[in-house]
Amino acid sequence: MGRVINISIVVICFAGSSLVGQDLENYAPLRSSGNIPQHITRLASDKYREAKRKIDRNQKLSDYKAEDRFYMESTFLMDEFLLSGKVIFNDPLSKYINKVADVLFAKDDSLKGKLKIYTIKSPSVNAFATDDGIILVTMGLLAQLENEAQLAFILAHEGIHFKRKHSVDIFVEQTRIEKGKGTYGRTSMEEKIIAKNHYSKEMELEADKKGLDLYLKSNYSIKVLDGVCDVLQYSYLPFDDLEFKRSFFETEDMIFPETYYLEEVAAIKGGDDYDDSKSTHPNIRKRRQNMSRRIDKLDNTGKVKFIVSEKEFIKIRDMARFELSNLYLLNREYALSIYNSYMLLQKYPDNRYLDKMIVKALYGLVKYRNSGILGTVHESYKDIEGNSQQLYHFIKKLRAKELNVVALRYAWLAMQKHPEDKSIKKHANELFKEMVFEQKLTPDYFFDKSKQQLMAEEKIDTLVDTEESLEGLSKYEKIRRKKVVKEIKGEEHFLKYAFVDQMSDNDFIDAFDKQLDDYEKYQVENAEDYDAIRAQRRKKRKERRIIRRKGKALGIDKIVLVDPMYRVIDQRRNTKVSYLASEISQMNYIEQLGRNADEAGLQISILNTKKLKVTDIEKFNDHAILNEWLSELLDHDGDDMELTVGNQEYVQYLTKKYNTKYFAWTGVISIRRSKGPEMFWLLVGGVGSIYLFPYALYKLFTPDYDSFYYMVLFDIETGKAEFVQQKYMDAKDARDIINSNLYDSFHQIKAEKKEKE
Amino acid sequence: MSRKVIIAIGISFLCCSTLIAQTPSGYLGKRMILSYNFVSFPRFYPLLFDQELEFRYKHTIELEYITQRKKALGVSFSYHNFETVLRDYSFDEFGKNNTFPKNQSPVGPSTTLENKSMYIGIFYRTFHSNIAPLGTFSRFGVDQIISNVALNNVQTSQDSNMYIPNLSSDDKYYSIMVSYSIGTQRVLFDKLLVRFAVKSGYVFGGMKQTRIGITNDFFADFEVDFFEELFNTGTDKFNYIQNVTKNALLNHNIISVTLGIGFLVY
Repeated sequence: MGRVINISIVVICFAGSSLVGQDLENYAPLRSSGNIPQHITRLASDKYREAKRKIDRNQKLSDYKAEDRFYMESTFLMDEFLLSGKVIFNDPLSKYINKVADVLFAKDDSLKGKLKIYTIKSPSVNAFATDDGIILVTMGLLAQLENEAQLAFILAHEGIHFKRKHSVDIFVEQTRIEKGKGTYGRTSMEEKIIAKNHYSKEMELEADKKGLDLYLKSNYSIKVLDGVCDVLQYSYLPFDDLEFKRSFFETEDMIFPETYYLEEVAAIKGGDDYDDSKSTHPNIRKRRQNMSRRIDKLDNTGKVKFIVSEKEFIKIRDMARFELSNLYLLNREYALSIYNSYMLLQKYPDNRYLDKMIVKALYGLVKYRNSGILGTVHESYKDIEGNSQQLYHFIKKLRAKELNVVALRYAWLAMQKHPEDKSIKKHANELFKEMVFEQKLTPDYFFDKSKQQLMAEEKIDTLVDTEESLEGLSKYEKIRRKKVVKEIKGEEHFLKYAFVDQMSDNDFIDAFDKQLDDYEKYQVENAEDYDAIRAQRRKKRKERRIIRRKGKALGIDKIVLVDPMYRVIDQRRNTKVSYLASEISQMNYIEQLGRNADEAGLQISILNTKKLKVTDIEKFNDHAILNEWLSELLDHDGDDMELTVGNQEYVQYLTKKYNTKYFAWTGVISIRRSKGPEMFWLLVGGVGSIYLFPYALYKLFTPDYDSFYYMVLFDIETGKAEFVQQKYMDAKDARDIINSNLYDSFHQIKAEKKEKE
Repeated sequence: MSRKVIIAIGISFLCCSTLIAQTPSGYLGKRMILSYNFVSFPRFYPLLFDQELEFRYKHTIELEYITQRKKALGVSFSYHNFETVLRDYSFDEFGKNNTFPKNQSPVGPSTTLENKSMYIGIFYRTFHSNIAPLGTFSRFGVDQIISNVALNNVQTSQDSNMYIPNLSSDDKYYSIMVSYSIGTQRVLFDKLLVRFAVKSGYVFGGMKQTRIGITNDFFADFEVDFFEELFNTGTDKFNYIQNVTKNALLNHNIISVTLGIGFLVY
């Protein structure tokens, strides 16, 4: 738990089904619904000005400035976070949390009706409170809770952070420490860090204490409070600790070697008495002890774990757990996603959503394994505690071919179970392709009969040859028989039994044949015909030359621009980002986009979160899902991977809705640089040489700027970046410079290729 | 090849490139620019003689077309009107020592060359990092200079009895100049282009004059074939003035500052 002072803005969010009556069988990731809360649609600059008016002007000037800076940073950063789509509202989870808050704060006028509580789509176990009454609870936290009362205590704790204005207090105090004001004079850097964290811990303990007072006024059980500390202590683990059964991926005949499994998984340690001197929060043991001292002797009679609804709690917790499978997937924590879905499958067997999550996670693992960079997405099993370690170890041990076959087998079965799901089908096909193209496996490799059937055919009673069984056979018959027995029983051939059932399935064989045909064509196309290669190279060189001289000509009529971004940064100041200037520039930039698109004859729609109306919920969700999709895509791109992103299926509807499959992200970063030491040498040169003097004077009195412009256009059906323009400029972000770049991008997107070229 | 043919080829190239090739972006789709340049540079050396600071100036009209994302081709026309003062001593001293006498006042007979030059040129502008027509650029040009030179205003110094006949000429002299400029351009109000550049031009043949020694009585013996004697190589009045002209053009173009204003036509 903590406060929001600085939140890194990561643009991620989800889309999915409606809130009410979320069907877990046909589950889809949650998204916001209803009207957008008004404080989210308001401009951040308005919110900041309102907050600024409330600052006490009679305090010390340095404190006033620190408070002002706090409101400036927190307002704009929180605004960006709320609009990113990572935060959802009016969803079943947020609604339920609000109901608990209503019960908890019913008798406290300073909190009742003043809080705005939302859910964050994050697997981490955390909750935050801001100074203007926003409480954010992560899905990871909801997935780990045991009961409603634990949630109530966490809300009480966060409510106190808001009520006592801890966020701003800590910020101001930390500024004093940073600047060495008052008693903090002459302290070393390390002492400053410790002092900052000490103050923060004091605030946390106060929130625990006062929060407990608030909690005790309610009718929630006292006995569950120790469990809250457990939730925090073991938050690094999955929501449960179930044994991972071998049978999950094995079949009767496809038995993996013993070495693929650990004899014993690592015990869960979960230390609670760690050194917290450099942490903003006290360690869990201290918090547990402080709480225990106060509640040990209290009477729990009449106190309950659930006031709102136990059934609803279980439902929303399961939903949070369902969400985790997808969130882990998006974070490329594939093993964790599989394990999370595996645990949920025990309660919801054959659930389509969970099967799909496993297929997608396996697909991700296969792609990274086949590229030889599995380590970037698969944590070492040695760092894992508990039963999930078995799965981590198993995946690590699987060879690329084995992982590919296991993944395809699971995907094929899932496809048969859920034939209506296009996403599973797509991933199954992709896995087929990987198996044929990368692993070079053909149908001949696999047995189409079970071990028992093969033995019967060969008239083998036992897989252990004895002298008696070989008696009477000729030398050649003995050799043949030994070979056959070895192949049927050999442990190294376990993979050949992967598709015993499927090899008699025409659909499976057809799919196999199709991939083989494609592979053959691919080989022909890529055959080493030197004339063809030279011709191809010439063509590419010519294309590159034309692009360099004239630009691309994509011939696209319409695109959607997703929340154009503008950052104005002044390196000379403490607050590097000029938030107010950025907001104004962003508005102007949006106008420029419209103007330039008109000039270029390109139709554009802008998903702009700065001018949302409360009824623009669809726009809000579209923007959120696109950002989430992009975020995952860029993660893969960072590793130079080309693969179908996990949430590809959730963006498909946008093509029809906006009548285009092209979505672009664009923005400008303008940086005013401080003059570096080179200025000194230039002045020295200017004094020494008459010829340099005018230039030195010019450089001295003119500010230094850097600007960066980008536009990236994606085809959301394929995930391919069709157009990428990034430009660094040693110049100010003047209107003509921006216009020039924008028009150039739009022109290239719109222009048709001419035949002569 | 006549000038008309060159112009016709240039225009057809610009038109054809637009018709058959993919068009570059330009600025908001505008690729044709008509601009006026005021080219000037102070003449520093009069300051050495306590004279007033003089400025050279030249007027240029340019029509250019953006042919690639970062490149433009164009034609230019310039008009350059200036005077070259020839003093008797200057030939003596300047010719021999290649420097001006620093402690001698400019007295003595003198004449003035009135030079009206037209520059007709083509140029190629390439933009360093931004998309044309914005940002820092390099401009490479070739100009045909046509100079109309008149000699008049013969003055005789008060302390000299030397007679210098009035000499007149309306001949045309031709020179070639190659030039390079580096500068920057911006667009205001989406239509108006402003330009600042430093330009350096080299006029072929211009350095010869500084190496020629000329005596004080140069003009007095005008009737005889003085030039023949002087240069020993069939140099005549025409060649002499041509040399003076080219040298002056070289001096005037070797370095200059350009301030330009333009209009994005279409």
